[in-house]
Amino acid sequence: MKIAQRLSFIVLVSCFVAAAGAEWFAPAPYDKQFRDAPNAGASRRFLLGSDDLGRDRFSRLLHGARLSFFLAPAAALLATGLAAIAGALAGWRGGICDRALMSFADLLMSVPWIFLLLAVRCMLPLNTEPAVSVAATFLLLGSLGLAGPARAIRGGVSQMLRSPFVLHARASGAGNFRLLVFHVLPNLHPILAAQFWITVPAFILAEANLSLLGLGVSEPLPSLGNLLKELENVHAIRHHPAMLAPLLLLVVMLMCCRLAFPERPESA
Amino acid sequence: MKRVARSLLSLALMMLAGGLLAATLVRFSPGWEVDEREMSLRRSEESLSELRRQNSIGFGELYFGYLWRLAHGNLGESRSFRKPVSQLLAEHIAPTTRTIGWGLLLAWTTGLLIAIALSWQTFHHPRSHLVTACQALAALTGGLLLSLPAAVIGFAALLAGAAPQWAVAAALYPKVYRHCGALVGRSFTEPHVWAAMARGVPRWRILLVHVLRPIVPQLAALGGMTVSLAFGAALPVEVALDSPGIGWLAWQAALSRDTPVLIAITFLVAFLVKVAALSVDWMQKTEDAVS
Repeated sequence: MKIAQRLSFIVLVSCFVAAAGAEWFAPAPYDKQFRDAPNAGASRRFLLGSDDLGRDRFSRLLHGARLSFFLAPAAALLATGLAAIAGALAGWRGGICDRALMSFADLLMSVPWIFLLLAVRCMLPLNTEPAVSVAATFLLLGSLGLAGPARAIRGGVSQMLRSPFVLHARASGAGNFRLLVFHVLPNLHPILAAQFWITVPAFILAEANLSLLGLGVSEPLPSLGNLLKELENVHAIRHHPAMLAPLLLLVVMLMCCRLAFPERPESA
Repeated sequence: MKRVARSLLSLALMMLAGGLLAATLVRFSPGWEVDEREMSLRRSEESLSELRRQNSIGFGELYFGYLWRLAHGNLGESRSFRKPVSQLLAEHIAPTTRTIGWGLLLAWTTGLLIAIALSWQTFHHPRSHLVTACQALAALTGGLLLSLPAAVIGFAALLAGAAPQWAVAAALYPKVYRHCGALVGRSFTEPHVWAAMARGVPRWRILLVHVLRPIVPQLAALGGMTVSLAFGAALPVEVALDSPGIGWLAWQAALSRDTPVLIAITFLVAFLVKVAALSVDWMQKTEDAVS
């Protein structure tokens, strides 16, 4: 393993631990307002200053990171699971089933993702409880992000069905179900893992974009996306450079993700 | 001819499926079949039921009516802007076309030129520290831009006083550079390139004929893909820079739950992206047929 890859793993694990232990590491609850100190600068009391509502930025960052870093993998797991079902079905059944499923995947892939997310998010209630907005955002990401992985998995299944070990198993009398469950699916593991690790950073970024547009996780719950909303006030960055902390964390996490689980350019 | 017909059929089927999906989304959107007049306290139960009967639309009328109107360029009426959707699209398409066109041109020029220059230098000076440093710098810049949400790039453009096309170019550059770098770098290591070098073929000819020429189909495919990425990047950038293009319109429509506008925009963007992909596909097949 390369040094850069090892370092990325260490950074990722550290961030993950910090985010997971937000309850213990954060000096204040994410929604606690210090009404005497709105827009405070970085100090001993507020490590990254406070926002315009007087909430501790460092505490919000830890809680926001927890939300993004835990739910993006959950959404990626959902997308990979759905893609595995659709891809395996298309590759296995072939014919009309394959054409219909892949045409649907093509339809999803031909629309830029952000437009698709916006169109479907618009169908759901906009003013919801924060927890519902979290669920809606990540369920949307998970269910709409299956097209690319489904294509890759379908390719893998079709290739595997023509491989000698499957032919051998078939010749030995293995039925369709046994072939799929015991021979094909376990061997799809590398493709599934690759698709999962490709979608995690994509989902973190998609959540950030959606929340920046005001259609993602809603206040007062913090997520990396809605913490970045502070940057809308670009001229305030000079006076409060700590506002850039969520962006810095996002960039470091995504770069480490890409270094730790590299994606081959030609496979994208 | 058969290929062209097949591609057109695929486009038509995609549009049909997209149209039916769009009609379904409009049907289940919040506020469907709700009339403001129902809120009036003066209306009797009979009057209300008559109003609801007038507003209710049957299955056939909904789907076939939607497709029929769509085929005739009638995309419906915007609830929030109080204008026909086609008029709104016509008003907002120009800034987006400009942003995406220039953004693609800038990203491709920068990405491809840097990829060629670095691969060329690596080919001629494989052990040079300067080349390695330049490659690391280009990869770092690409990685950094790839990790930034497009809206944040938009905010940076706002701070720098740059036009939206620069922000779109910055969002696209890392993808173009990364893929072009991989393609050009691999092309440089092909045996025929070494053979041409050994035969003393001029450098410019090696680059154009032996390195770039064979990867034109892959570059064209990448070009088709970047059109979709450009539309995706344009939306947050237009919102961040308050540029009144299609992306900004889609965002406004999403915030005010103006489903007809949002569906029409999604449909239009899907159509444009699919046309770009099919054009690239045709180009590649024509190229294959000629060679």
